[in-house]
Amino acid sequence: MSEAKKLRWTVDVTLNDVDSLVSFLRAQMPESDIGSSEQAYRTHYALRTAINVVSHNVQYRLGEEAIAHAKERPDWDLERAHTIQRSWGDLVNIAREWKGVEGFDHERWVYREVVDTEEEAPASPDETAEPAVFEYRIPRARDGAAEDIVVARSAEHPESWGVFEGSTQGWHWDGSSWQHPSLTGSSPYRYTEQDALAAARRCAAAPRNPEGTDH
Amino acid sequence: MQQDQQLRYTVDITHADVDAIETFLDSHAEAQRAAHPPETAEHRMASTVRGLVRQSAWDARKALDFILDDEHFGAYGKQADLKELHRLKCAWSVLVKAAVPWQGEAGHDTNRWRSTEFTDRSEEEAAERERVGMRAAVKAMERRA
Repeated sequence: MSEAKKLRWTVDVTLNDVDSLVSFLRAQMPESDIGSSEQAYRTHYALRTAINVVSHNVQYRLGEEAIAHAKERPDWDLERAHTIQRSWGDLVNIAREWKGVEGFDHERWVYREVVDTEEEAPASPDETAEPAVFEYRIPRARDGAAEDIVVARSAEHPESWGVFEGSTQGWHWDGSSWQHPSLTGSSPYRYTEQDALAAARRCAAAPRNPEGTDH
Repeated sequence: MQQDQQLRYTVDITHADVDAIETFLDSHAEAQRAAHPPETAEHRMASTVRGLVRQSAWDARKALDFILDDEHFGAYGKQADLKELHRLKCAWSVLVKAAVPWQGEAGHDTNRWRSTEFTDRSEEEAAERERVGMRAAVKAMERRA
């Protein structure tokens, strides 16, 4: 896949993507600018260390050695896919704080819950979804197999919160029913943090209908 | 495994471990956020650390909920179990690395806040068998050469 294209699945993540994202992040936090206090220094160091471990996790698994191992052993192949998915997601989440900065790649630096076309479910991640930070996940009280209720804040408007079913930012709660952006066109980020949490808890406690489609 | 024993395998991570490291890191990040105005580099980095910590702790808890629940773990096949174990291992390693700058500070638990190389004892033993096998194969090749 050409890297000029929008990143759609986890399998589309390349070493170039990781390298460019990590270079961008390092440029945003130069070592010469480590902060004005010991606490600031430690936070800076924590972030750099976390970026190192996360990027190494994904870079190693995109390398030839890991690919060769994965071909030999199905369980390593699985571990490889899971780790690339999670670690790439972590890098994308870290970068969101610098979303407005020049050099940010809006097309490629996106997280995909779905590994590849084989794993893609009918409810695929919404391509038009706003960048968000998933802060809380509340399991459904009565149906362990159903998607959890997820409370996310908008990355662009941190005071605006939404309530979702699962983390694809598809179906969201509008206060009285489940809505989908493709149907309503309206933003799901309509709550304060407290109101979103309260709404999510009510949704998690409510029974689903017997067909499992309470949308 | 006892909470005060040194952490070795991913399966030994507990909810108490996740709660403790999240509280520790969150309080440091919050203190820095509060001390610096928005839009400053210090505030931005503290927000990012806080977001990363919360996301990783949430991932770890979600995985633990699955792994520790007999109704779920083992019920959806090995692939589903491994996915949650990998998720826990990944999330935990991020939390542990983020806490490194505070090593030696009060509240930092060096005994428990360690990355886990192996999911469990059987995975470590399988890796060891593989190492021994490879060493024997290399020696055999050297003898033939």
